[in-house]
Amino acid sequence: MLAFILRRFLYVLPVIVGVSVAVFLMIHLIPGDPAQIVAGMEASEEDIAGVRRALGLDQPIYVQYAKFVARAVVGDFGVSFRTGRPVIAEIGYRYTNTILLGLAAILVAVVFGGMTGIVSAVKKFSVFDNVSMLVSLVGVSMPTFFFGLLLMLIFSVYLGWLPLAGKETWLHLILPAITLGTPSAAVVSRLTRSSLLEVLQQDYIRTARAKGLAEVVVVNSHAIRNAMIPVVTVIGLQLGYLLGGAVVTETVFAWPGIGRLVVQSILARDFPVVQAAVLILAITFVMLNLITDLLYRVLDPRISVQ
Amino acid sequence: MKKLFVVFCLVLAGTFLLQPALLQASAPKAGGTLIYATGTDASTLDPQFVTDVPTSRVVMWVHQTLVYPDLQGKMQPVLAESWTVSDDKLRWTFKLRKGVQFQDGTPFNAEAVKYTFERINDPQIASPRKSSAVVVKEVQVIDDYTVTFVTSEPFAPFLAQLSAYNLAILSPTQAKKVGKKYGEQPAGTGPFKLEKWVPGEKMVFVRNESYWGDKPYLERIEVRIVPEDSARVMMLLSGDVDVIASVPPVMLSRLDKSKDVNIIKQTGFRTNYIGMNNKVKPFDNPLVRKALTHAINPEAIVKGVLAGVGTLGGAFESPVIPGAHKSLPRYTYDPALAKKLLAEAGYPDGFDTDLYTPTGRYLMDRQVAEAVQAQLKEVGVKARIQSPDWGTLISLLNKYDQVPMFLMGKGSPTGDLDFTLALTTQCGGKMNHFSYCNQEVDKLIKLQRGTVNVEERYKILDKIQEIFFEEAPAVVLYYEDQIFGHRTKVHGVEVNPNEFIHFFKAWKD
Repeated sequence: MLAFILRRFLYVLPVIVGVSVAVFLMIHLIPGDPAQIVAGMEASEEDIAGVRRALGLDQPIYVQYAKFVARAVVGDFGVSFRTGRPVIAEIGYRYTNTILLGLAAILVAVVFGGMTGIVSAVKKFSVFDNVSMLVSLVGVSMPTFFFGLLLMLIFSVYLGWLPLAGKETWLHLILPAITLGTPSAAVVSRLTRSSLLEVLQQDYIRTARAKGLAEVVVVNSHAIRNAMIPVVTVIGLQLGYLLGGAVVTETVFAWPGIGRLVVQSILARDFPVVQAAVLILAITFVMLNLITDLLYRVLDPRISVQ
Repeated sequence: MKKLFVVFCLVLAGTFLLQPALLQASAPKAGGTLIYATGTDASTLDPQFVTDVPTSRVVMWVHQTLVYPDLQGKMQPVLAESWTVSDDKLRWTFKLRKGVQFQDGTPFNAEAVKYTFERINDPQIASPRKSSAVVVKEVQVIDDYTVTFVTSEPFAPFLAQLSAYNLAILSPTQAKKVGKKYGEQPAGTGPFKLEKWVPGEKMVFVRNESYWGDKPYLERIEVRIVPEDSARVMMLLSGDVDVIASVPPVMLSRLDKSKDVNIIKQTGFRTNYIGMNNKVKPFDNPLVRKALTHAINPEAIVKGVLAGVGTLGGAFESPVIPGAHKSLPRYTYDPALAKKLLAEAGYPDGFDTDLYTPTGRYLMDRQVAEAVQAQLKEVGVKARIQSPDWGTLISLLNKYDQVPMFLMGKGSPTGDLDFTLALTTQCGGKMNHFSYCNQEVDKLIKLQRGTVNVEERYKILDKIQEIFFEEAPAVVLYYEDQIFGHRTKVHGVEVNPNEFIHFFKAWKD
């Protein structure tokens, strides 16, 4: 097990290198001069040249990359072109904000999606089943932007139960988490239902029932664990969607996350922030995949970790 | 008669009784926190690194310049009390205000002014707005409260230049102490100082208790960053925030209906226009350009796309900028004439072209471009809309011979025509994306720069604007109206035509 984890960690290294080179090349090759954008429309050629020098953009591209790597290995990701603040400072708390939002969204997805999926499977073809499957279809089809504003209108403006936007209190997390988590909840719900239905057909379930076990025990201790395996896969994939999809939710609810920062920085050609942010997101994704793989082992001891 | 007398007495008594109530409702109250929601965060609080309007606003709550224009555009003393200019127009001497402190306790004096100008020229600092001080050859400290600027040539717009946010005075002690971190730890002379800044989330300013002038009533201003327009509007309606910036026109009616909210609408310094590149066919033909001035209908655009939010006019410079031509009429909307002129120019069936526009940079920019596209189609000009992201668009425009037609906006950071004429109208100007080049106009631009007499200068400026209007490298669509919304219990919000909003005289009931 330990060897497995260690080996997986080693795989992370080539991923990091690959991602950093790819991002570096991409952002330097797209049109748009960061020095011009930083200096603004009204800057003179001389001003722009001064900015270019100060940002190190007058160096050849391989020199710039070498400098980036040399600093990155000691944890120095440079300063933002746009604000002059250290990149770590810009990204740090925004990253944790997005992770917080993502975790809350996953919680919504797993709890609501899982629960409705289980009940739908157990009460197959009932009213609850049909309604929840319809709701999940709507949930996965509705654009995040629209859904978020709709929730805001209902729960903040008309009912006044929840705050509108920002990140002052725990209450501020609720609407963004629901907005971000609902499409995933819908997917989890449908998958849990179909997966559990399949498991409930299995021989060993028939055996458990024949042994005289109560239905609740059959479902809880035998069926669900096995049904969750494909669901865990999907949740792992959903995490990736959540990290990327958070940007819309973050914009609508003014949640200060890294998604919005990345988009802003790409548009502003803020290279250091884009590089560091994409790198940290790539590493996060790899780690999440690792955790997902380890979770299989926990759920089904038959799955050996090669 | 008796009845009338009785009624009169009752009315008189009534007004006496009401007076205190009326007075109470409108008398300024000290204290309180004003919450202001805006769409974009400031990038820095260092005046010498400010390159956009949202940043300039908060910077000017903390800092001040030597002079600043009032709402009519007339230059008023701020950190300078009075000034004189030498006969050869090369030496401007300012008497500075006494008893002023920076927010870190350092006294304000001539040395601080000199330091500010040295700093903006320092290559280590690498200010992107170094050129705003390029006309200053030397800053001489005559005594603690007298400073003389020596300019490299007679420069009529010097006072306007000094009022620009990039030349706000900063504390030498603080700047030297924190170096590059000045953007997060500023110390100016302004009525508010920075208390807390969570980038991307909020900024908190507190009243400067040692401010030299009339202290603000408000104790605190909290700036919240809310990028989504509808969210901001909803927060204003629900009372979560007190003032919001940039209200989209479609939501105006919603705010109008609410009795808890007032709208502030102000014609601003910004002109949004359609530019035609004189170096790209067929826009090198003045007849074609003239034809298109009659094909575009700005009035319909402002009414239809912008819900009436926008001021119409013919001059390239907004009428509220001092020196702008006040009587240039709009081009007449006449599609038949446009078609006739196009035929004369050799394009009886119109032509194909590309119309470049940003998306989301200006209010409804994409939609306005689409409206222009439709209007052009009526006269046979088929324009394809191209909307790359801002960075790409700028890089294409800066090639000066690639983009045939484009939608753009232009502001006025110094509130004086000279700055923007040099950028947009002079041959080879950085923002001269329509590649306009008229040697006579260039001569006039140089002439007005050195004409310190205001009347004479305005005459020259008028001539420049008239020639530009005739040669039509651009069709003015509208001058942007600034719209802010505020709760009715908030009073004294002041919006300047140069897009500066402040709460120095504001209070909450």
